[in-house]
Amino acid sequence: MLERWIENYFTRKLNPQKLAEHVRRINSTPSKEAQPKPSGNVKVACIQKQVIPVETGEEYAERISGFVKTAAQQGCRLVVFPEYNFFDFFGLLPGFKDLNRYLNKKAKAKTSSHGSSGNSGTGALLTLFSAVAQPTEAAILAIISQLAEIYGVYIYTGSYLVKETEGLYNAGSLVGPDGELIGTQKKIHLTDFEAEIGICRSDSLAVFPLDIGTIAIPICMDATYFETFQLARNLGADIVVIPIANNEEYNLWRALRGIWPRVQESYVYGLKASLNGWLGGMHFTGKAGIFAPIELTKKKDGVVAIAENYQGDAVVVAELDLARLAQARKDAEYYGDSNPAFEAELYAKTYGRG
Amino acid sequence: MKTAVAIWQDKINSPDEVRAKFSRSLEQAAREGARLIVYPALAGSSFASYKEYQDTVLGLSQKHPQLAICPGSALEEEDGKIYHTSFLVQNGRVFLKQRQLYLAKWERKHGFCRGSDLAFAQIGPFKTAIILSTDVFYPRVWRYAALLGANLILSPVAIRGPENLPTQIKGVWANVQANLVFALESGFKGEYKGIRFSSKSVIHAPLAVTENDDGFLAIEEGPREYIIAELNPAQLQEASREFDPLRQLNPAAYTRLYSEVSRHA
Repeated sequence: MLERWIENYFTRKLNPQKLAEHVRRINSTPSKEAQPKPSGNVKVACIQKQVIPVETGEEYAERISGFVKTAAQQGCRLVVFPEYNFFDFFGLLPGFKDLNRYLNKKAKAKTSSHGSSGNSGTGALLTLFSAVAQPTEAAILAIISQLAEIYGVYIYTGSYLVKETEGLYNAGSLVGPDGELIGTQKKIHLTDFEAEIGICRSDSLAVFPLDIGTIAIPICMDATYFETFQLARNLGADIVVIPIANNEEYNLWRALRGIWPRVQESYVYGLKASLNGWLGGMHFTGKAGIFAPIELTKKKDGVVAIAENYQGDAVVVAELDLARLAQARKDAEYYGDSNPAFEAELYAKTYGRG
Repeated sequence: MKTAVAIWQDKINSPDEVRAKFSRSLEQAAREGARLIVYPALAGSSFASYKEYQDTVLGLSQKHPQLAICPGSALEEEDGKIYHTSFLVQNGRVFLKQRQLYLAKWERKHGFCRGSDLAFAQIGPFKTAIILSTDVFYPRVWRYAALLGANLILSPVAIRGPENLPTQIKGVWANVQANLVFALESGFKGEYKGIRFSSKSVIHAPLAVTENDDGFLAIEEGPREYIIAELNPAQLQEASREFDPLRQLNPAAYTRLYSEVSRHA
């Protein structure tokens, strides 16, 4: 009953057609002269975005527009948004802002005395997930499609919830410069929290061959698993996009457990977009960044570009050189060998058991 | 269980120098109560043969029967094939032998061959495997070890090029975090076949087990014979309550890794 009411409420508040019109109204198509000329390399942008609960869909559309415009003005051809990119929409709920303020204040007090925000407050979000999935998906796709077409760029939507017969998925989509949907990828590895609340997981990874390179778009925890990146590389990916929303206090070493080692192992470019800030008593932290095999980076540290802070907004921009990446693979000392005898045994004795 | 990882110096170039290094460090580590010590990859490369190197270690091990020794590695010839091989010794007996499973570019150039399986041995409370040098950069080897229950990995390494912490972190450190195991990494410094190698010796653990939440229980510093740390399997269980990546593996998604997908690597 409550779920139906919330779903109807969100559907009324987030009219995709009206949001698309609003996006067109506030974003004039940039003139050809104003657009930076594309070079042989590909410039990309990873968005670090603070959660700000909005009171209208238009407010959200304006924030998303700002990020895309900044990236497009710098000549980026791909813009990547973070995981759970729909969280701002919770501000549409009557009374949410007050509730949010209360939960955040309570969690911050707990963090300062215990050092961790934990998962307090998540219960309030869980009841909403199913109700908001369809209207927020439609709103995000409407906004992103318009922006992609207006600025002539590829945009990864960030992730949102997809409601299907069997349940809810955490998924994100890639939209082309013509505003058309290229493809959607559902999360393959869940967090313990997502598994507990019954989010479904996907069993397959797709790659999308584009004129800017072949791209895979797994989500957050998927970067904890080398299997994801090996699958992506085996399918020909040069660029792996990872949207994150890390509900923990920032620590460099914790951050290093994700996309960075996966990029080093698989010789791809890694693009990380991060959702930050407080919501419902949860604290999200993380630095958006662009990563490459160590040999391709100036400081020999595997980092092409990274946000200065782990909180607040940022647009992290860098150029990817796919020809250099291909050469690095050929020259790599510790990459590219195979051992079929061992790998067959590995599969039979581990993943394939039972 | 107390464990030690030898720190190698550039100046150790001859069998006599290796013997002296082994004698000193075994003596001290045994006195400090260590039950296990690991030396770097290629530690045996100056010996005339694999057998001479193995016999040397077997002899030394009898003086310290309580100490399990992974003496690093050397090149092993069998039926005209060359393998990069390590082993574990205690009290005059070899109880585990491990050939490297994957080859670095320089090793492929020299025509080395690959081993075909990963072996395990029990040392005190730990199910142990050797993940040797180049293999530390192949995460599937770590996953195999972890899924078959290993909780302590011994990694003699020789990393080509100048010392660079990120290069080292992408190997053992990253895979320790991804599989929640302890690892003893001993880094070779020196030249072999005209190639320069350099890396630090480190004792690794999952972040939650380490004081600074950085994954380092001990790291090479200054002119010492070895670094030492106490390992307890209960710490791994405790760490897994906070973060255990193995809990959310999705085997159904991996079938394509080992079947029809053409390899671009």
